[in-house]
Amino acid sequence: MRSRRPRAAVALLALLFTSPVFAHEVLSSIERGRAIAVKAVFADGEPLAYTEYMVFSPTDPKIPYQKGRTDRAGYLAFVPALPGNWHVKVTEAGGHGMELDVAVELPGNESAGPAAAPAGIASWAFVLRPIVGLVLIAGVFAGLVVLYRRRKS
Amino acid sequence: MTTRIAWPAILLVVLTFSGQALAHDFWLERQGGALVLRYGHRGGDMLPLDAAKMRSLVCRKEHRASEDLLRAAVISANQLSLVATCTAASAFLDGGFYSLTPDGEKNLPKSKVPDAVKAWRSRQYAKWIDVRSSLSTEVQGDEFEIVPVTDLAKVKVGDKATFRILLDRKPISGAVLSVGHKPLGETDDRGEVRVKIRAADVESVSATFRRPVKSPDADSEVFEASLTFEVAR
Repeated sequence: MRSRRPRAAVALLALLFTSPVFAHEVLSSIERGRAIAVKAVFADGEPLAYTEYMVFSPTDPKIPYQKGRTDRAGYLAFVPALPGNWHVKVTEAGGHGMELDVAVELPGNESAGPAAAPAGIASWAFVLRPIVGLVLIAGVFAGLVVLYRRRKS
Repeated sequence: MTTRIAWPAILLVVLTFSGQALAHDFWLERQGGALVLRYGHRGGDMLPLDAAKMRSLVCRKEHRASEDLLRAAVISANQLSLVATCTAASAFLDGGFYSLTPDGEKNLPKSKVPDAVKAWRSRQYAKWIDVRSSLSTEVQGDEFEIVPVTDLAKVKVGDKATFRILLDRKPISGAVLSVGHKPLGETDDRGEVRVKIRAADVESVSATFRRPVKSPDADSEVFEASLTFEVAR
């Protein structure tokens, strides 16, 4: 009987450690052909590496839709959520700014806002959620049964 | 600049900045009876001038020995002014080492920045000349220097003028001459470049040159120099 104790403890620990991951439910997806890449370079061809930039959506010219730094090769990328003129502003370390308007036309249903989840992820999550819940409940119940039997013996 | 994107398309837009990877403008100009040294964007915002990085402010007069008057200069937040009668003057600002990191530039050598991807040493020179003086076409002796080849006393707005760029007193090819951060030309084998004078009152041309170095602190040395003068009318 003693040899069963470690197994039960491991099962309980595994459940405790896996459950928070699913509670936060961080999912990701790869979407191709939706982003616009902008490369910022000086006239002599040198990229503006790690340079601050801001992207403004057509509906809000004050609060940036996105901000960050270009990558080592001078690239920034953004995914437009709606059609219209997207304004890109890159400010190099010397304080000089470069600005660019990108006119975006999104075809039909792809003009959905950022809240719209990709179809692939949504369907998988829909199936996984109840299965994970049932597995958790069954695991806790099994652990309790094992403990109860051990005490009884 | 507007770029139109339609799907599907090659979603790459290149944003070209007409300037070069330079520090801020650093120039010397006459204001009233004083020579004023400024840092920032000429014709735009001034930025604080770090007096601790100033190494010299040399005043030259005809038929007299040059004199370093940095200690006599009055330092304020955004400028350094010197009341003196000079016919030519030059200033040197040693910017020290800069390292580029994913969080931006840091004013430290590469050896002290673990995530540096490249580093350079910056040295900036600012020169002012009275175009009527015989000293205007003479070499002043700065490590990096713009020397007019054309007699600027006869050059008016719209005329072309030739400038020679020297590094360690020797003409250097491949240095870029700019006005207002717009590159206008590159020096030839004689270290010369010819550009059009665009300002009607005070013109300021600037040169930059990058030299690779092998050092644990930097990958290159960046030299910048400006030459400011009053345009003839």
